[in-house]
Amino acid sequence: MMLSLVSRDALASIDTVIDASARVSGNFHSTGAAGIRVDGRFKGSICLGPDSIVFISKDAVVEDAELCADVVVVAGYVQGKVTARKAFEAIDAAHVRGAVECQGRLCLHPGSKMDALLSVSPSH
Amino acid sequence: MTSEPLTWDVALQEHDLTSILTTVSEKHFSRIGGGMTFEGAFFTATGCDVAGSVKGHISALPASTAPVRTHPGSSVCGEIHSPHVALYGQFDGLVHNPVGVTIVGASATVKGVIRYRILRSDGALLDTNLIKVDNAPGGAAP
Repeated sequence: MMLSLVSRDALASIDTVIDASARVSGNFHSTGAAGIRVDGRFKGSICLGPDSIVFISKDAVVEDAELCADVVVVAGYVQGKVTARKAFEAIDAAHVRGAVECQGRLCLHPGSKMDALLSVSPSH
Repeated sequence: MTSEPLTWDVALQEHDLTSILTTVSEKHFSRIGGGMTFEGAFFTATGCDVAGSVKGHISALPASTAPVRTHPGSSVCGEIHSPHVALYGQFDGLVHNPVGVTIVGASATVKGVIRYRILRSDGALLDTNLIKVDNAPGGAAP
């Protein structure tokens, strides 16, 4: 897994995990620095505050979703609306369907697939 | 980290709480970190550690032995369905564990209903309706 925009330290700091066996529906939110990694299946919203990261792992399935964080990294499947306030990165065999709004840096790796309305603007 | 299946019955008899908690600290578990709030339904076959806040329910998937543990400082309002439950934070709701061990640590504050087969409490604040159930092989009917 090659990441261009996200440091390994940022990934290591993630303290909320949906494991590969898990089936989760609902809403995650945090007002402070936080990170969440989805390895399993998730439906719902993840809205995180400053210095936050959302990581969707390879083989993860995220549907009917709204994801909002400073940094969003997708390696699996996401269907829904994604808002990345600082950076968005699609890696491995990522497949994103829906809408992606990125304020700041964007990186789409060769193996990734986007079927999404993409909006990119400079970060503030 | 051991890859052996959890055997809390044995752990309860042979070890202290610290040993039991070490046993359930599994890197592949789900985890809801401190500062994170989750509202909804959470099903897992491997286990779930809760350090943040939960409104809803956390359940072991059918045929799994996924443990659920809440940490000091955590808050859960809702239901926990699991064959292995350890409460160390605030809990208000229903714990349903007719199979394995339910542990209520000294730091826990618990309201609601605990349906248990084996219960261990180490000085926790309990304001609960305790209901003895037993779905273990050869166990008595509730």
